[in-house]
Amino acid sequence: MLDAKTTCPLQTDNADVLLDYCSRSLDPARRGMLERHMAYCSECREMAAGQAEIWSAMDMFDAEPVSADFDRRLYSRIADIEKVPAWERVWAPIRAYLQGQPAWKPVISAAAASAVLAIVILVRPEAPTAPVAAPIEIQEVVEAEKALEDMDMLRQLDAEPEGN
Amino acid sequence: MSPQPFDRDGVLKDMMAVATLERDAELMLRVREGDTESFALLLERHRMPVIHFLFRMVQNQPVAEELAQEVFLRVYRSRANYEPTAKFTTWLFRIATHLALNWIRDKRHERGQESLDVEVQEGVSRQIADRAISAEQTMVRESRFDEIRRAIAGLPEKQRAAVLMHKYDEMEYSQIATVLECSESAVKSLLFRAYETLRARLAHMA
Repeated sequence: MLDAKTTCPLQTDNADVLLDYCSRSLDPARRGMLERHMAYCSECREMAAGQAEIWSAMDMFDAEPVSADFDRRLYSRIADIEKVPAWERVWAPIRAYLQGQPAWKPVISAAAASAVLAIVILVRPEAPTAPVAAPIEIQEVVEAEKALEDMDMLRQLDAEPEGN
Repeated sequence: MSPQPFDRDGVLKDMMAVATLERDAELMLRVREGDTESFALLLERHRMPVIHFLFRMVQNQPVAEELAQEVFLRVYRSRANYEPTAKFTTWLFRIATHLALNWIRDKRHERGQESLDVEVQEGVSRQIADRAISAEQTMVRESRFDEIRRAIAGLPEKQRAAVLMHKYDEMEYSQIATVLECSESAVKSLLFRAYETLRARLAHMA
């Protein structure tokens, strides 16, 4: 709240109070307070006076009359939209965007998309699979058979009675 | 504490604002249900404020009307997804501001860094004709109009949009903040700087 003697809107980041005062949107209580404050504060008084002048000068900036066929043109464009099938309405902005781009831009976009896809494929974690036995080399098989034969031979020798 | 004086005008204004808000939302919900007459009513209520705002933003009447057509087309296209979460006018001015700022930036880009003040010259050729006033008075008024127009055109785009919504559309700080996608304190700061610039540029007119 504004205090007439001590609190100045310009000193307390409340300049919007002065803007509201000039646009006549300040409530009567705050308006009264501000007017009491302005009786003491020349800075606020000058700012309010300057703002009121600008506010009134801006009233001169009238807009131009609107074309008589504004609505007709709008409804004609709406009718055009209604004629277009739903899928075409979705696709049209995408096509317009692509058409608005220089020829190399879609190529870059496609290249970027391909690069992302390639990374996804390459970096994708392997699906868990059943463990596969390592292939056995033929050499290893032959050696194993020999070892078994040797063991059999030793077993037979061990089994023969001593003295034979 | 002394009782606050009853602000009858303020209360009436607030009640009318609430009624307008509800009416717009209601109409838009009907448009969503396929009621084209409700769209016509919305157009009737908001056509002028939108076109006038756009005209003061871009300072070119044919461009302002073209952009306004796009605003209402976008409203129509978005009808199926409309939810009355914000004020209808806030939504409308958000679309309008977005289109105006884009147009200004594209135009500036097209013409290099040429100032908007120069580029809109051809768009505004106002003949203030009034038989009741003399030719000299007419010239003075035209000159003042031109100075105000130039001073507003010279403001940075966001300041310009904020001033126009504040002065001509009597929008609240919170609404302007939503339209410009910034805080209320940022809006107050934008407005303060904009009016300060205008006061400095137009001081000689006082």
